[in-house]
Amino acid sequence: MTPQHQPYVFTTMGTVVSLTTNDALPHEVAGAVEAAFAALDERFSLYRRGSEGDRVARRDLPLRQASDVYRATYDLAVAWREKSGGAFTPHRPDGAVDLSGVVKALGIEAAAAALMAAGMRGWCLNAGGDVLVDGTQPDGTPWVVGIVDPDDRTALWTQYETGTRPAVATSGIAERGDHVWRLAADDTFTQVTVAAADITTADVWATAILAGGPPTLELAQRCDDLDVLAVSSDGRVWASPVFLTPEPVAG
Amino acid sequence: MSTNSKIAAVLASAGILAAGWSVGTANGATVAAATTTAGGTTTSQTVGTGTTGSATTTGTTSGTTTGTATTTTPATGTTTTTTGTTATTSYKDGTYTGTTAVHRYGSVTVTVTISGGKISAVTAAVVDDGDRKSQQINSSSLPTIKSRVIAANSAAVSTVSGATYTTKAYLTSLQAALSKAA
Repeated sequence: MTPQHQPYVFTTMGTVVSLTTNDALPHEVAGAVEAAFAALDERFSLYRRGSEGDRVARRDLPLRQASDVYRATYDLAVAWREKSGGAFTPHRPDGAVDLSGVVKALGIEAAAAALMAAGMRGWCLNAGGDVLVDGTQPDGTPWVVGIVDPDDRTALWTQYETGTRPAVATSGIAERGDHVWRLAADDTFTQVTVAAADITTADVWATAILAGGPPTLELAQRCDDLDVLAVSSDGRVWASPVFLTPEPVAG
Repeated sequence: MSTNSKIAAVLASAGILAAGWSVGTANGATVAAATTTAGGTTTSQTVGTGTTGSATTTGTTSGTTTGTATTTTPATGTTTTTTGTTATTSYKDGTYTGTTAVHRYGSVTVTVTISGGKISAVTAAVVDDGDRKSQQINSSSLPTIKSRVIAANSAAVSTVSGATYTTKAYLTSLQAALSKAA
C-alpha cells in the first residue's frame, strides 16, 4: 500500500485549494497547479483593482474591447445562462458583469490539465468546496466526498463516492450576495450538490438549481448526466438514489 | 460495518435504478412522490432551441481558456526536476485544533481527530455574528426526511464539498488543523 501523501494546500481566488496526490507531488507540478489558478485569478478577480474583470465590472473597459480570453469566458457564461433558462447568469442585479460563477471551475480544469500534462494520475483537488478527482485512492477505493450539512454548515451530512462523475460541487444560500442570484419566484432550495462528468457542469448547475428551484433541477436532469442532492428550506430533500438508503430508517 | 454495507446496497441499487427523485415532507409522514423521470442516458438529447448551440460554444470556449491558462505554466518549470519533495507520511494520531477562521456570518474553529493516520472525526465550534442570515444557516430545524440520506462515514471521507462562504472559513480552519497533524 502506498502511503497517502499529505495534501498540498494553498490559497487563491479568495479561497483554499487542497490537493491530495497518490504519488509524491513534484515542486514544479505544484507550481504549475498554483499558476493555473493564479492566471485566472489575476485576470478575473473583482477584488483586484485594475484586473480585467474589475475594469469590465466597473465599465471602465467595454466588453467588446476585452481580451479574447475574457470574452471567451463571458461567452461560456452566457451559453450556460441560455442552457439553464436564465437561472445562471454572468450579470449581477446591477448589470455589472461578474464571471465568478465559472472562473473557479475553469481554474480547477486548468489545474487538472497541468496535473495530467505532468503525468500525475490519482488525485483529489478541492477548491473552496468544489471537488474534482482523478482515478482512485492508493488502495484502489474511490475518492469519497463528504457533503456539508445544510442545517449545520460545520458538520458532515452525507457523502458521495466518485466514479463516473468525478466532479462534485455544492452551492448554498450563504453564497447569496456573491454569485448566486435567485430568480424572483423561487427560493425553494437552501443547498444543492451536483456531481457530473466535469467540474464546470457540476458547479454551474449547482448554482443554477439553487437559483432556479425545482424547474431548473428538472431542466438540468434533461440536459446532463448528473447526480443531485437538493434541500429545501422547509426540509424536503430531492435526491438521486445514490444518496439514499434503500428504505426509510427509523430515528 | 453496517454503514458500509448500507452504502454498498445503496450504490448497487442506484446502479440498477439510474436516476430518479424522491420527495418528502418536512415531518417525514409523507415520503416519496416521484417527479422527474430523468435519466442519465438522455445526455445527448437537448431541450429547446439554442441548447445545442450553447453546448458547442461551451466546449470551444472552455478549451480556449484552459489552453491559455496552461501556457503560463512553463514559467514555473524552469527549476530542475526535483521529485518527492512533499511529505510522504500520513497524519500523526491525535487531536488538532485549527485557527479560528472568520467568515461573513461569524467565525468557525475546526478540530480534527486523527487515528490510524486517517481523519476519524471533525468537529467545529461556530460563533454566530447574530446576523439574520447566520440564524438561517446555523439554526434551521432538522427535517426528518434527511434520515433517508445516507450518513457520512467521516473516516472514509477524503475531502469536503460545501457552499463557498462558510466552507472557505471551514476549510481554512480544517487545513490549519491538518497541517498541525502532519
